[in-house]
Amino acid sequence: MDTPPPSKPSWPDLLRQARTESAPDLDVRAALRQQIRSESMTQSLAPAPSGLLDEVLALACGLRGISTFAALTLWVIGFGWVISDAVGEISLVLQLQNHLLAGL
Amino acid sequence: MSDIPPDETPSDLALVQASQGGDLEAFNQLVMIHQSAISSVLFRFSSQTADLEDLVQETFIRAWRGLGTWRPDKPFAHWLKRIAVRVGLEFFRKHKRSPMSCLASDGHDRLTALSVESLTPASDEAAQILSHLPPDQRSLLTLLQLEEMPLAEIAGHLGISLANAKIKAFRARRTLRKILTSHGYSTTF
Repeated sequence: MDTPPPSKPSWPDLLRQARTESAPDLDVRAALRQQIRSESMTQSLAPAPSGLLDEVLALACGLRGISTFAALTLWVIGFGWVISDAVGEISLVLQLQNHLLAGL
Repeated sequence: MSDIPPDETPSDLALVQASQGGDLEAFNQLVMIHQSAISSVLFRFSSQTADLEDLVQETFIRAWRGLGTWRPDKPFAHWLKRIAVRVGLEFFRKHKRSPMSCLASDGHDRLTALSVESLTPASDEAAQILSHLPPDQRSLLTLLQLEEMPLAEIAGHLGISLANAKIKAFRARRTLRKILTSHGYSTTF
């Protein structure tokens, strides 16, 4: 003959019972100490964060980049102006030449 | 575990400040003072000793990394508990269904057989039933019903408003009721 399955407790009873059970006595200090030490060792092996000098150099490089760009822009404008002047001169010469040829 | 005499116990603030300066011994003392309370909270998230140890350790590691974010106008224990709840919630998210969960789909379960071997049978059984809930609801009910934490405190730890926590608790209870009914438990709560 089969024995009937044990009746299940009600949820509140189960909760009441569970609340009486307590956590085992743990001590994680040794494991923590080890982990923290290994973390700080990893950090010391990592590349050092940039200092003030690095930041100044980076800024100078940035500024140098900006000034190079500005100089290049000015040169392009100047060159454009010279070219346009030269083109104007050539077209004037051509016009005069046309007038001259027409007169002949 | 060595005990510090109560009148010689340095304050949490002094220990935190020393720890921030790299004093590992001070942090060790902080751990010793608070690890029992943190274990109690996290025990509700996992009664398996190996998992529990990992969770407690993770809580203190995060605390160590974030010591600078603690504001002394609030108790250190409260701040630490908040970290523990976050760690517990993440644990639930990673383990959406308890690996020990034995509730069979046909409504019968093998929990009784397992519980004989466990040192915390009721906690295991309650945790396995709650593991059928979504992680957020599971965390909320774990803290509310097993840890008997006030809803306002839970809301604070989970970073939600009290009104939101009430709504979530209502939904979680409704889902739990269905789970309990389907597994033959009485649902008078």
